[in-house]
Amino acid sequence: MSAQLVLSLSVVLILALGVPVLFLLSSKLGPQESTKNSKNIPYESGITHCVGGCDNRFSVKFYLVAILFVLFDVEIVFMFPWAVRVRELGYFGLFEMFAFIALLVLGLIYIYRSGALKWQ
Amino acid sequence: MYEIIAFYTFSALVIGLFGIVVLSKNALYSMTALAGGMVFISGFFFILDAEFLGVVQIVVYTGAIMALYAFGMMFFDTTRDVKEDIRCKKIFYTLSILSAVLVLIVLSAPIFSANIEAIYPTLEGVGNVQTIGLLLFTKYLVAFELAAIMLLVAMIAGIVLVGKKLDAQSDDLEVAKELK
Amino acid sequence: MGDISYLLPLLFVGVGAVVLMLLSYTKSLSISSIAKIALGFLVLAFISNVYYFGELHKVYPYENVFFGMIVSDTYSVYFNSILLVGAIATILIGWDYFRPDRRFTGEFFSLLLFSTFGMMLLVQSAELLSAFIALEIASLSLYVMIGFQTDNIRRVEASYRYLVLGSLSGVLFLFGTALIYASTKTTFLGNIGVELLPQTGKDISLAIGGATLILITFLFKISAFPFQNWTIDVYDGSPLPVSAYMASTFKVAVFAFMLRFVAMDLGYIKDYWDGLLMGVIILTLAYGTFLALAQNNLKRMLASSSIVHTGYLLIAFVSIDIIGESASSSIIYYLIAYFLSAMGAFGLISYISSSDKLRLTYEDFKGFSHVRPYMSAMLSIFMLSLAGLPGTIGFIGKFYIFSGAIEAGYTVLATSAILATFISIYYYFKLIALMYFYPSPILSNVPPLKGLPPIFIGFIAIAVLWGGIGNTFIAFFPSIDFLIDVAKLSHRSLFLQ
Repeated sequence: MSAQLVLSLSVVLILALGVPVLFLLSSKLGPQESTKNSKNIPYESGITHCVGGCDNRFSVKFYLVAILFVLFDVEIVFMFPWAVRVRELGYFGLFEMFAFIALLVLGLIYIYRSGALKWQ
Repeated sequence: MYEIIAFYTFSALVIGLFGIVVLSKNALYSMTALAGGMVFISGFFFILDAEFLGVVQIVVYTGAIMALYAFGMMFFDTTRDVKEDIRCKKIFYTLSILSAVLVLIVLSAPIFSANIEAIYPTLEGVGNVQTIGLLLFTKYLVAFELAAIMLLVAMIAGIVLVGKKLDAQSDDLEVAKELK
Repeated sequence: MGDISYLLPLLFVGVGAVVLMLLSYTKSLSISSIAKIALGFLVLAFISNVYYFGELHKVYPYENVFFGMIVSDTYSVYFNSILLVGAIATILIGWDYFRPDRRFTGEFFSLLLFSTFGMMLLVQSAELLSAFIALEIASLSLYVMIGFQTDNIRRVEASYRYLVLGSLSGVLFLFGTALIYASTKTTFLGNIGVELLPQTGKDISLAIGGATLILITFLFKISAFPFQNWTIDVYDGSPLPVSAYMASTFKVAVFAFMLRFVAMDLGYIKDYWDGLLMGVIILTLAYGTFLALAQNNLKRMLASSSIVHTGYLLIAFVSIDIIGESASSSIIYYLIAYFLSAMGAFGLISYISSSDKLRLTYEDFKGFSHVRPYMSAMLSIFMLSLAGLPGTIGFIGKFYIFSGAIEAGYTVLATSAILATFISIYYYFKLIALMYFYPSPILSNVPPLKGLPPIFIGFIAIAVLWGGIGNTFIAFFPSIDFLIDVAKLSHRSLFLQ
């Protein structure tokens, strides 16, 4: 094993050990104001009054955002195998990818026109 | 050998985490365990040399779960069940240091064992992602482009099934205003 | 014309769907003008499709780009014509039904075109993966079309039920494809059979398992026996034009794909299915008949009788490897016969109930002939054709299927089918009897015959009669035999190189 490797590995090890220790120390060294109520609620900003349990019903709009996110997420997944072969596929692949994106951009225009992106 | 160990480790982790998903009464625990289980499932794909599927598993499933997770965080009354009191600090320190060492092992593992090979590789020599890229854009081009159309239909489906009710409500409100 | 001419029908429908999607939030466009645009695209597609109707050909358009995933042959042109007519008919029948106050918007027509696009692609796909995606495009649009009126709880329930069960069956298709790929290293129709042939005598249980999973998806989509439970509730819960569209076109598309798959690749595997399919057919016929007898609601009765018709169609499906060409042409012909009769019946009922939120039962039709004699006549024609009485297209369709089954040696199946037909006369004729043999009408606020839908439904009724008697009475008239000849031609085009 080369000295360089040992060096780099030990740097990683020190970092790996150091970071959690620093995290733990930070609570001791830093400002001691964690007793304040707003720091202890699960979500520090946004909704302040959480009511109800797991069976609580909330607006379907949130699911819509999640679904739209997943759809465009899937689009990105398809770009990944294209990206690693972009040279071999050449202009043909580029054209096909553009057609794919164009279809989804049309979908985006539709979503925009439908007003689903507007938060009422 | 490594593959066998990895397989059983991942199996135990996945089954354990999904068990928590089903058995836990707390939504946050369930969702965190679900996201963790999804990540470990991708481990199976990596063992089989199917990196693409592994990445898809992480990007789509874990990404999607995280989106729902964020909403769950916002809405559920989590203060009721989760009590963050650290009683045994020693265990806490030990666990964090152990996980640090684990990260180190994971990072340095490729250096010591460059000869790990899949038990049942899909294709010899070539990377899985490259092969899929080539196939997807030549032989299976039609299926790829059709996937875009399927996504379009899914978009319309989402908008139609969700949007209408909101429009109706706002219309009713406007009507009510006009009546006043 | 180049390769593009073979793809024009698909392009028109696909582009039309996207255009309608973008137009759907344009405030200045009324719902009827959007319907007209949709109709325009469908008619364009139909014209470009009919151009190759009846011409023996098999082309893989742009083979160097699409790698033979999409095929255009006499067979696909034939089925595309049926599907396009089905989509056009759905719009025409529902012309008065799709109104803004029922919450129908432009997206509905976009989804209709998307679903037609998926079905046409299913008919034209020469490969299992693209077939799966086509099937999903078609089904996904259908799920949403059913639940489009989100303020109606029954629609939403039907949509949800269909969505859950349908996606489950879609997954089985994908799994079956994977198993077939594992055993033959290809997903292209035509190659699968070639790969299976040298494996004769060896263990091909993987391929059999995969094909059986695909068969299950197929049986689900056409609502055959063990997978029929969704049918009645979903048909009953959906808007009437959508029920008509589902009952006629979707079944046609799924049958078209399965027929191609089995005829081209699974001749050898099919032997394993014989006993299974025979049980499925007899139970489908029995259960469907039982359900139809028990219904009081007209829409539910039509839905359950569609299960029985699935049973008839499967009989020809079983005998396909023995009598080949004539079996598949009898399936194709029966599909047209059922398509016309069901479209007419559903269309007329949706027209009658378009004025209010009525759920029509048998009782409502008491003495109906005294109020609307022409409507009763048309409804009677469709009922006669569904029952398969001589003089209608339904009779010829049933005749071909039953004689084919006897020729292939499936006497048991033919007997049970004939028995089911006899019983079916009861529930179809009950409606006719109620309409004509009761003095006092119950339905009074039925809209009179005016506008586009009645003309179109009358046209279908004439087609039903013409299919039944055209070929016997008028000697030099272009008769329905023409359709049978083209059906035989389409079957032959499957095996062109």
